[in-house]
Amino acid sequence: MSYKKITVNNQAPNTSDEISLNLSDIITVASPQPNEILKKAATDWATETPSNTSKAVIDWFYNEASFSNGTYYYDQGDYFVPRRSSGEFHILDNISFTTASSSYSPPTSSALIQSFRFSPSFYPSGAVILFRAVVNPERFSGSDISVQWRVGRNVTLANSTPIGNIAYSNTKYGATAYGLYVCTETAEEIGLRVVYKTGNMELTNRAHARFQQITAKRLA
Amino acid sequence: MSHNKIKIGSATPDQNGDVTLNLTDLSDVSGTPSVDQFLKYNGSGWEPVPGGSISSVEYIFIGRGEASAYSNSPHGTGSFSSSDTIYVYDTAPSNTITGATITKTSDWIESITLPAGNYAVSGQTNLIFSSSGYAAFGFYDSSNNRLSQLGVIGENRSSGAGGGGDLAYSILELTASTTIKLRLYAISGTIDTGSNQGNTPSEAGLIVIEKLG
Repeated sequence: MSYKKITVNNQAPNTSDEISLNLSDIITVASPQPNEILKKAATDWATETPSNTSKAVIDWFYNEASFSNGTYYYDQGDYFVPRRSSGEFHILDNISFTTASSSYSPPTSSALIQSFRFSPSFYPSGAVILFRAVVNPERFSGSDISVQWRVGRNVTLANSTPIGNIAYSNTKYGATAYGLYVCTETAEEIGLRVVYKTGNMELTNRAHARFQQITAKRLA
Repeated sequence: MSHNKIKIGSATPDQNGDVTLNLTDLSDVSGTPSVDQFLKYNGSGWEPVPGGSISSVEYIFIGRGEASAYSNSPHGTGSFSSSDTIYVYDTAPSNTITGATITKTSDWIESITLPAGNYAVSGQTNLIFSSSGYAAFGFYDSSNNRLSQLGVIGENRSSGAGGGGDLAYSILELTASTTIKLRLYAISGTIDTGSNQGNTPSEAGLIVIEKLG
């Protein structure tokens, strides 16, 4: 009598009575290629290349809610602080945020957002986020503002890290600020900062909020 | 003598001789999958990954607001004409598009060669004017055929473009490998010389390309 006649899915024990099993010893997995994922097919299992679609993670939409921001002016170095208290950020996919609370926020207010945080639990190191913004503050005569996506929480402009172009706007220009953020093992904060300005700009009011765009999508 | 010495994968029998085999007991599966995760093949084995990480878009990102005088670009110190290439500055451009290459001189990007496929392209710049005017720009191929819709900048842009947007954006359907570049379409007034542009074009310049399915 031999106790080593046992096999598991056609795999026999080695001399140490150990049966090493791979996934393909249990299910049929035909020639998988790197980065392919496992998918249940009608009878067996199959692999397939993941789709190349991006995923919406942030979208700001002015929902016509009545609000008043008060009178606060942007300074160079400030966070650009969009409103959030009436559901304007209707897409925030597993993203936390810091409300306007630092010396770099025109006012301190829980109704406004200064930056976003990407938890490694949902956005592991290497995940790629593409930010996009067209800002539309209240503009006074002769004013202009240049904004840029930057990494860093409550730090000076010089100590923050730019991740995209500088977007200039006045009453005749309306550049788009893009930012490419590659997630790390820590939950860093990303915000839109005022890099340059001329004259006075107040927080975005209701009428102009309809023309402001703030989005982010996950590319990888 | 015990008959329970046998080991299957990393699982051993209990006192009744039963072996409960989990996915993670297999030799070529690492980690423990959580809810909503997938198994991805990494070339030698299988590993759990979050749902969001299994899809990815290939992309090129150029333009991080770095400062460099435009006179350092291949444009040099001279004046602008209506068909000039617009150079975009980036010391570390990102390129994950398989088969795509970026051509640059001293970190000034001149052109991008894309393999056949569909792409969403965005391009933007800013230029200093010495007299009121506008500058329209878009993506062109190496034969100077316009491939995209135009962006326009300048205090007088309404006179030439009716008030279009600052961003050149289009979807390109390329049937063969194609070299594209950001190029002026038309100018009015006077764009200041390369010497007088300072860092403005390097800080504002942008090219984002996303490969589409």
